[in-house]
Amino acid sequence: MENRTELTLKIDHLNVSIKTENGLIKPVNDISLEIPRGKVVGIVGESGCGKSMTARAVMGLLPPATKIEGGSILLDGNELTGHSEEQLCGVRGSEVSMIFQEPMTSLNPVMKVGRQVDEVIRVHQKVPLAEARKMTIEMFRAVGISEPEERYECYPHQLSGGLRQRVMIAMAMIMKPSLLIADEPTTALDVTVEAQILRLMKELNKSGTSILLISHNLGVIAQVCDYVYVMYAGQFVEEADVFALFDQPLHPYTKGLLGAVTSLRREEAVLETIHGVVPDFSELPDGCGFAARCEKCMERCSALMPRMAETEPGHRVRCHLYSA
Amino acid sequence: MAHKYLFRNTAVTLLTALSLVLGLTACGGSGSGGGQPAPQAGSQTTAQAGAAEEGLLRTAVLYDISTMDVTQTTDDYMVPMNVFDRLFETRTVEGTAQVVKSLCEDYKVSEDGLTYDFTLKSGIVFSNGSALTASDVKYSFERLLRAAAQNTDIPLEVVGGEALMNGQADSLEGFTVTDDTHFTVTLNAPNAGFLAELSAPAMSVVDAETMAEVKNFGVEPSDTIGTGPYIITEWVANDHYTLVYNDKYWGETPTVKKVIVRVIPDPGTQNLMFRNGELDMIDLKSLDTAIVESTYKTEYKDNIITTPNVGLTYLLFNENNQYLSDVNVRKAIGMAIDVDTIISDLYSGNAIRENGMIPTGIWGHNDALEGYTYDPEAAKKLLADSGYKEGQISFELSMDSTANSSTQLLYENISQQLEKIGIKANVRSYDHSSWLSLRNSGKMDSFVARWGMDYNDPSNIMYSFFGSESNTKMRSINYPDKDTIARVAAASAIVDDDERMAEYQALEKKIITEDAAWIPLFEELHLYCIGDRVAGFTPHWAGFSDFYAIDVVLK
Amino acid sequence: MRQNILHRLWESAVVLIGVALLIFIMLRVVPGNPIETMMGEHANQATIDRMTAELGLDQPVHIQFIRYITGALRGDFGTSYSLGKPVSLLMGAAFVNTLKLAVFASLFAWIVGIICGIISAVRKNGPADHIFMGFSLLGVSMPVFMVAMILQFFFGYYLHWLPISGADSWKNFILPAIALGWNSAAGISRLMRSTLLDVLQEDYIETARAKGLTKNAVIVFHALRNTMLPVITMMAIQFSGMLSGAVITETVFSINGIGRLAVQAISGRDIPLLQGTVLFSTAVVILGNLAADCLYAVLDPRIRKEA
Repeated sequence: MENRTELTLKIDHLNVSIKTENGLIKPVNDISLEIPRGKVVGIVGESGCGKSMTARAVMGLLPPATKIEGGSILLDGNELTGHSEEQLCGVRGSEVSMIFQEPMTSLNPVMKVGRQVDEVIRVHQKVPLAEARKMTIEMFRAVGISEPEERYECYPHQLSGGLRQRVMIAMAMIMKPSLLIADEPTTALDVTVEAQILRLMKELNKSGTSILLISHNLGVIAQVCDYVYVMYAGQFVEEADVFALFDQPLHPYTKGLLGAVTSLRREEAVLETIHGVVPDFSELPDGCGFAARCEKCMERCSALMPRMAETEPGHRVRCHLYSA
Repeated sequence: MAHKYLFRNTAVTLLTALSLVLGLTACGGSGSGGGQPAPQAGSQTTAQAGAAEEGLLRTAVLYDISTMDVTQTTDDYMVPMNVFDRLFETRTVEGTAQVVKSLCEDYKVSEDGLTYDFTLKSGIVFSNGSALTASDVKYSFERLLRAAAQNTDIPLEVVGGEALMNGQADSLEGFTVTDDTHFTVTLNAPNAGFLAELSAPAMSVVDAETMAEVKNFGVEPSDTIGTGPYIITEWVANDHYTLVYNDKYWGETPTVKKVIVRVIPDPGTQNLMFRNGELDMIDLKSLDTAIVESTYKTEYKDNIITTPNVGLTYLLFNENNQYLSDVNVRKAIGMAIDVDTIISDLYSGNAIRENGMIPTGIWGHNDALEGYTYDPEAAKKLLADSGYKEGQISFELSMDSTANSSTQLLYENISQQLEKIGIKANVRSYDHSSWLSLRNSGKMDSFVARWGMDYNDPSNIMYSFFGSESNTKMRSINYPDKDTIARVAAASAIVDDDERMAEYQALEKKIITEDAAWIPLFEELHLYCIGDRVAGFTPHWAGFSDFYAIDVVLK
Repeated sequence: MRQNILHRLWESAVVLIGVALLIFIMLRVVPGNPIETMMGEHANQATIDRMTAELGLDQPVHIQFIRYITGALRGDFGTSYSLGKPVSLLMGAAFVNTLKLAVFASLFAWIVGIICGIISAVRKNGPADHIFMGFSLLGVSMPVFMVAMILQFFFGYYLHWLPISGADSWKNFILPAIALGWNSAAGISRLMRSTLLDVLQEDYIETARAKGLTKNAVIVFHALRNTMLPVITMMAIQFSGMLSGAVITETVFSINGIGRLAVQAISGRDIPLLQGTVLFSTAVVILGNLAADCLYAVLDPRIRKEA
């Protein structure tokens, strides 16, 4: 794989649309994203903002009635959007893999976990079963599963949530993909396990795999990410280096999110730092999607969609406050 | 890997079959009704029809037989009739039932009518080669009494019969074997109908020597050995049994060399099989009346053979019932039932009206007997004159739920007719067992049933219903006139035939006309349909569903 | 697991004896004298009394029951009144036919039901789905005798492809198997479809897709086994139902099976035969459920552990 480019993933002006009874909606609206090799990039946003849809678009696993309307997805310089299902099957699991939010339900309950990991190897390579088994046990050890031989023979229900997520990670990492997409990987886990899993992901990242981490939790993002995209209503509203973002959030929405984290940390009653709810995709205003909930909303906000503007190198924001 | 392909192929085949069925149901709406294809002449197109070997007769029954042994049944006579012979047979000769000699070569009756000297035909052997002797006949009589099960009535007439049956004697006293072909039978009382009785299937002659050897006579085909024209070769319960021509048979060689009787419990299936050429003969009694009327009486009208089903459908009353004990009520009921309309509407005309107890086709039948005239107004008046208010009389008409559909309609019809004269007759259905139990207990209010004649003599029906107190309790439900009961019992002993028939006709008149203890309705006709391979068929003289296979002539 | 099966078998034996006792008592409480029924219209009272004594039906019920059970343990279930042969012999012969019919019908139902169910689920709302589900609605709602008669008329009478009746060769069993399996096939395909649709929504299906498995591989290796769990239970119950007799199919196609024997026994008050068929059906249903549970445990490791 000598022809690897500097960017593991480059998403350019990607649009995803869904046909619904209320017409066409755009859960992913003209987004562009870059993941440099060996970096951890996060997408943060409330649930329903389109971050999972973005991940699925990369995986080629969009739900039925959903369609990529335009833009491109380059994985290691290869365009994925035009790929056939067969080609995508070759990419999935080997070059880009994904772990999910619910380790409890993401493993097949009637199959030994070891075999579920074997399967990834055997889908992509012609390897004898014994060989695959050896590789799996090796990978189990690498992701910190103790007694990997015994665990190999276990069924999912016999394992704890943390172990299951480790199995999921082993499964995702077994083919040493260039990109790992982690969609809320720790949301269902308790805090100690969360820390372990995040540490594990950081280690994996050090060994060369780029990671796209999707979370609604800025705390998680802060722990592992190098660069962060803030997503709202299908669009990125702010993107910055992780330190820049936490030190100097620009977009009112980002500020709100950070406020929510801080208030939780202080163990005070939850302050409603962001009023209202994520708007329905079918009722998006012409202007800024956040306008209705924004405390600093101006007249033009609801009429005109702000453009992404770079305030400092690497720090961009989509807000009329900074577009002057 | 091979099994994967197999799986796929099976699946494809099944799916194809499925889609064919889809096509079938889709066009079912337009194709049903008159769109059935005409029966194929010769029916050589199907494997089944094509396989019909020469001399093979294929027929079907709704229910299997329960035994091949006459000591165990009063219904399942198909095997006994064809595998065994009797001293006499009742055969239809030129349209009338006659008692003809069979195993018996000659006989002589004494003046007093008590003693019969018989001579057996010589040289007759059983199908296993054993010779027929007079001892075999004696053994057959004694066996009925020793088994003490079914069909004991006839041998009980012989002197010493009762003692043998009760175990007080070792052999039948009134049966003397002179030599291999000669024997004498002495009766307790004269009975002019005795020879006719000897032609009943019950009196089948078995081989004493064989019986000593075999364990499962009547159950195992190979153990069931007779002198008759056929050998039973197999009996698969609830499936079929096979009769094959006995080449040691002493009589004329029949055209039917093999009979397969299949148990086909569904009338619709029997119909399709006959039309498909898979059956050579079908008992139309097994089919739905509607199909018989619509299809068989049109398409197959030249193939239908009709014979009286000798017997009587009747209505009986419990004479212990508070209303039914009144002779005027019973007479009113007799006048209220429109038998002619019943015959035309419910039986499509396939029945003969009967006025008395001795049905058409039976010796002693009285054509001149005057029956009830349908007159509901007169019936109403009779009830009013007897002091009954309209709607006051009410009783139960108890129905056996296994009765055929025509009989069930008959019950409803009678109930409706009685309602017109202000009598409430509630039809209530019982399962077969409960019905019999209730009737035999003497507590049933009233019922409609059919009596099939066992042999050609009025004593059969008269005695069974009015000849003894136990019989009147269960069959004529508490008929009270002891004098008449005694006369019925005595009648069979009258030696002179004319005198005896006169007495029976007098008793018939007393019971029917004077006492109204029995309302005769009709005698059904029994219809068969023969297929293309059959040239002719003479049914059993009494219209049994069982038949002599030698009476079927194949083309 | 083994412990559990042993326990279940022991329970089954108790249930069987209970059923035997129940049917024994019930048959002697209901109105109607079996001997009168057996002897028929032309029998007289003396004969009836004699036969009653001969068959031991005048004995106290508990004596009769002990006699029956000791006989049954030796494999002697008495002699049928209505068919004149040993009950064990009659049931043996009938069971062979019923077993053939049940196996053929189940094979038909399983193959057709599973395939149609999968196709319907995978091509949800497509033309195949509409056709199959329309069919299965027809299958569930159409009575067996009607299917049987249509098959008989079309394939037996009209096309002459297959025999109308009988049990002589495997060909005889094709139409009855379809008639009997029709309902089951419809039920299985509907259950298969709905379960598969549910299973396809599961997270582990997405995991499998993310591994790079093709859609078909995901269905075969991940969805089917999970889908089969409830379907297997249905199949086992249907199969044991078929084994305890299919009266209508057996009657229409003139197959001497357990169902017809049972009906014959009931209408003829054939006590030995009735006891035999009831005990048999009970045993088959118990074993069928046991087999379903075992199969379930084999397929679902979660159950295996709990058991």
